[in-house]
Amino acid sequence: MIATIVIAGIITVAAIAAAVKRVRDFRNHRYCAGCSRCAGGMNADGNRGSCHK
Amino acid sequence: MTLYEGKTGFTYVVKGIHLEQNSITRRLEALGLNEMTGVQILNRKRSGAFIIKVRGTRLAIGKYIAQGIEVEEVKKNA
Amino acid sequence: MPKHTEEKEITVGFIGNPNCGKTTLFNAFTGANLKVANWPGVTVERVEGSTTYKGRTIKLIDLPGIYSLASYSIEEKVSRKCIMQENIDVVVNVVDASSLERNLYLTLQLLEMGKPVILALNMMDIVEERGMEIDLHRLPEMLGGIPVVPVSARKRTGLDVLLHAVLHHYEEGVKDRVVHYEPELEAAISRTEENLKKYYGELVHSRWYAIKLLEQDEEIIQYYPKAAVAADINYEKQIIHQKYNYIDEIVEDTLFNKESKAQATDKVDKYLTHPVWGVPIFLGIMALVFFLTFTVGDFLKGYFEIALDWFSGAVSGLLIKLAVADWLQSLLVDGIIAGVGGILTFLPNIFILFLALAFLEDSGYMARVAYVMDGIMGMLGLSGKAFLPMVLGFGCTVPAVMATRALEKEKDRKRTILITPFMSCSARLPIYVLFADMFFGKYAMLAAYSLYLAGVLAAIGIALVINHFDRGKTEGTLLIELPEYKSPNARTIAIYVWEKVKDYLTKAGTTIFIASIILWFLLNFNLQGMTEHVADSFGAEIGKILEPVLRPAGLGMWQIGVALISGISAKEVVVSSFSVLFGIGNINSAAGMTELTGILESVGFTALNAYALMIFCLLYTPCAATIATIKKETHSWKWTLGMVLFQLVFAWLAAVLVYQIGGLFL
Repeated sequence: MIATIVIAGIITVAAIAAAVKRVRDFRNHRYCAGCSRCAGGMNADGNRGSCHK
Repeated sequence: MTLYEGKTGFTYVVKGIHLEQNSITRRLEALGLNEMTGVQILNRKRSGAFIIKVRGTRLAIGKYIAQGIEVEEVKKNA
Repeated sequence: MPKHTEEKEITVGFIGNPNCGKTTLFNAFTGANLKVANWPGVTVERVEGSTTYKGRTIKLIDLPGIYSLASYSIEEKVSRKCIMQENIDVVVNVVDASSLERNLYLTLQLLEMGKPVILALNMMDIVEERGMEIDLHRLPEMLGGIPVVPVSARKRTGLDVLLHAVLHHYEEGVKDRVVHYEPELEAAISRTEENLKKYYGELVHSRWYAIKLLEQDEEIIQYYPKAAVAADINYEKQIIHQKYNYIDEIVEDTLFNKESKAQATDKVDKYLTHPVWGVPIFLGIMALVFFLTFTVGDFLKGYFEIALDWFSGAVSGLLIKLAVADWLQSLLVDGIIAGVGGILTFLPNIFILFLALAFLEDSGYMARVAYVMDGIMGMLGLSGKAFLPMVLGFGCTVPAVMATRALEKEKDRKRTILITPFMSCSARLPIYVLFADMFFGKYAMLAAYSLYLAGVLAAIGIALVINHFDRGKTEGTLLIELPEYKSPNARTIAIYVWEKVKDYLTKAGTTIFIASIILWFLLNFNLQGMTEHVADSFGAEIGKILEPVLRPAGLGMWQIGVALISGISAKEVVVSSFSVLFGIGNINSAAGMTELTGILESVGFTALNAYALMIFCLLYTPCAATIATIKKETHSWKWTLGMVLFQLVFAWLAAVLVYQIGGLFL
């Protein structure tokens, strides 16, 4: 019984945390500003189209 | 003539850039493509896209840009 | 040193071309300690930070990435104003050493401004990789004696040396004039300088102002109208040209071994960008990518499955031991572990896919694809530039949609956004891996590749139709730089792949985790509470509504309806819902597949049905994140919802066609 409550509690907390993280990640998603300057090749961080500029 | 009429392997010298979109002209300028610059055509497609070499850098340009660059032939490349 | 006694704070401006690694370097100094604001009056971000070196506080300002100091763009104006008017003691000019020609243009302009400049030569590692060498003695000589410091923002080397240079040089301007123009131009500069002196008195950077006046720079003319030069002679082109000539000289004198690499690139390009063979070669390369994704990925997958089986069993045992309620055992084992774990076993395939894509990116091939595809894109009324977002779409549609910002015209953007979701993203890969493996045996790979092709063809077809009714004028304004080919850098690739793998794991831990819980609930409950039979659950009720609609496509099972709806949260969820639906713990393993195949075949679900399902999954509404992104990018709910509806109908039609026509032959 106690184990059930504890585990169910953990899952609930984890699910809420996951939902919050997902929404926040999406909001902060800054990827490409479309500056069309990633003239081929990747930038120093190894990304293209996601230079965070 | 314009760069669009140029042939692969030949080198031309830019006489003028006549593009409606000023932003592209500026960008070309910053990339080192200005009047009196030498341009070598490395590759061209039927669609009118080109790969050109300007000051040691390769650029892929579209038909519209190629048509807006006025050039004069310099010399044949072997 | 006595001159440091007043302990004044030193202000350093970081400036450089876009993508020269300036921000990475800046962050290496400041860490997370940043102050972000906007430049006055404009929406360009202004980032400030600080660091200390030998007890001195050094304030750092990150200026926008620019190519030139003209006054055409907001970024350029902001940077220029900051250097001229704010109390910047020294300018650190970050330069991408691997493309010196491009970067030195800005440097020469900075030098003319007369402020102390320090050149930070970034990306020296790439220069070395390419087998080139830079003469670090000759370079400063040709740049008026300014300090030149090789740094690596990535490896964090040279950072102290750079700060040392800042400390020692912040008071010294450029000693000598660097660019000597031709006599005629120099005479004009002197004349203008004299005029400036006559009307406005002694100016600190009169040479810079004179040059800008000769270039007919609007801003400077406003400041010093009396010294303006008649516009009949435009010196601007001469000035630019002569600066570039000097750059040519510098490069000639300081950069070695460039030619041999260039020749190698030319040779490779002869084939890879061939007017006729370019497209088939691209398709071949993509086929190879997917071949590797399947074979190597499948090979690695085995270990993941063993691990998952073990984990699932262990958790099950533990829960029984703890006497946890049955429903919770079901939620954990059949819901969460089956759902999330099932997706995790596809990680090897995802990993290989991104590894291959990173390889293509870093070698310099990807940029060429835009050129190779320019002809085909032109027929669709789109620029070759629009193909880059589409290629990104093979990874994930979200950044791909964002990358359409590179297209100037609104109409082009919307068209590209409309067709980008058809480029099969990595989330759809697990669906193909699973169903192709289950139903196509040794032709699995072929079946999966055909889906990628079908996606591309669907995108092309739709663009063609749109173009037929609404002729878009092909702008032909493709303009991208093609880097030289190089052997890919292990570190760069590692960073790239890790980012993607991290994204995948995050998705498994968030979206898919939540979706699995909801799905489990829907499938195990009905109005009476928990149910023994899935067929009586909420989920089944919902699925049954869709059953008749999906029947013509050979997908007339309520389970498929449920899987497809849940797939909108993320496409991988289609797979996890199959595991939850049929209660298969390890769907990606041989045993799991056999079990599922058995169940499906017993209700007459054959290879043809599987193919129709895959086609539907390829084409139907993208995931929620993509829909939200599209809304954000188009600012229109109407347009976004219209697109969603269109994709649903289109996917349904395509699946029906496949199933019905296929049925005639099989």
